[in-house]
Amino acid sequence: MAKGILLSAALIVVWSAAYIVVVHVRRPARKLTVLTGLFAVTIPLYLLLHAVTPPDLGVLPAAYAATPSRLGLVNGLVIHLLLYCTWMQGFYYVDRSVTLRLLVELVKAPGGRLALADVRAIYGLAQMIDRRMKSLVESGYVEETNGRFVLTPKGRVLGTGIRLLRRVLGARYYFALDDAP
Amino acid sequence: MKGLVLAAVAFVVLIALSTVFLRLYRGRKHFRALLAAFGAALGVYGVLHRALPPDLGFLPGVLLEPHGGMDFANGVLVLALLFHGFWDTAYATAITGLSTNVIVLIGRAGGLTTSDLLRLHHADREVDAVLAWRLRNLVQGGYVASVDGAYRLRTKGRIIGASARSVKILLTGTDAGG
Repeated sequence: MAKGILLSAALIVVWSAAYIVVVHVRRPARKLTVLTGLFAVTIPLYLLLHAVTPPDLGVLPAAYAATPSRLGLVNGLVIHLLLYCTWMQGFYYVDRSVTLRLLVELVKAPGGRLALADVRAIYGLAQMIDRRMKSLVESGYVEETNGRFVLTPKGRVLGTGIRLLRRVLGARYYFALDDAP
Repeated sequence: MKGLVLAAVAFVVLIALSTVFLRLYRGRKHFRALLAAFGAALGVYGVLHRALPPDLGFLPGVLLEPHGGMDFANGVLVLALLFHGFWDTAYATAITGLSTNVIVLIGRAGGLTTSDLLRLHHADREVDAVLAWRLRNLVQGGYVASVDGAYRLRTKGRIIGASARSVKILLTGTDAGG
């Protein structure tokens, strides 16, 4: 199992590095396409590396290198996909988190201090909504007609899924929890 | 393979417990209910891994990991990664996600304009609902101090903010966005 996990981890590092190079050199408009495209390459690479490398990768102690080959291969692939999902979720935390953006704006502000009016001017609700609507339209969840946004079939599926999940978990959107915003 | 199978079982337990804990929880910090469910699921995994035989009574020899410790650790890793995915979907997406809530609002209304969306997020108040919740959490968490209508970074917030800025620039080429 250790072999598959190490190969997957190494490929995740290589994938991350390749993505960072592409983002800084090419400045792509759609980062998600770059991320998924580059990740797709790592799957055949993982299968190839698993096939051509020795069970101990030249470094593992014998006790960690005795896994049946097919089990190690499948387990490593499962880990690889889970690491991808986790990495992507981490990426969106960093890219989209309102809280992190607020902290970043405070770091950039003189003396680390911003008045409420400054916060609203730099990163107000209108900007947040505007950026998200552009992204939702680009991703095909929403379409705009004469300034009015409606859901596409893909958006309807996601909306129904989210409402269902909230119902199952018994959790409402956080506005409903805030009595004095 | 034993660890992998038991991680899947523990994940089902985790989802069930999360549902129960979230329904029982009355506070504002829902992540606490999810963390408690994860802790309990890890306990269930540990007990099952210790109590059950390596083949679980049905696994063929070709699917058995010879090193018990490796098998156990692999299962913990898988369970942790599955939990992270569930956490992200349940908490960051369903409960606090702005984009997903916009989709829900548009779906419920059949169609909305930008003005409608701003109104629904309480843009008419001194602090809109999106900022109000975050700013209050930042103050209560000790990341930011609220002084005379302004917000000032505290040490913890400065460290997190500076780190986030570096990672943001590294991954996206800009420190804006969000």
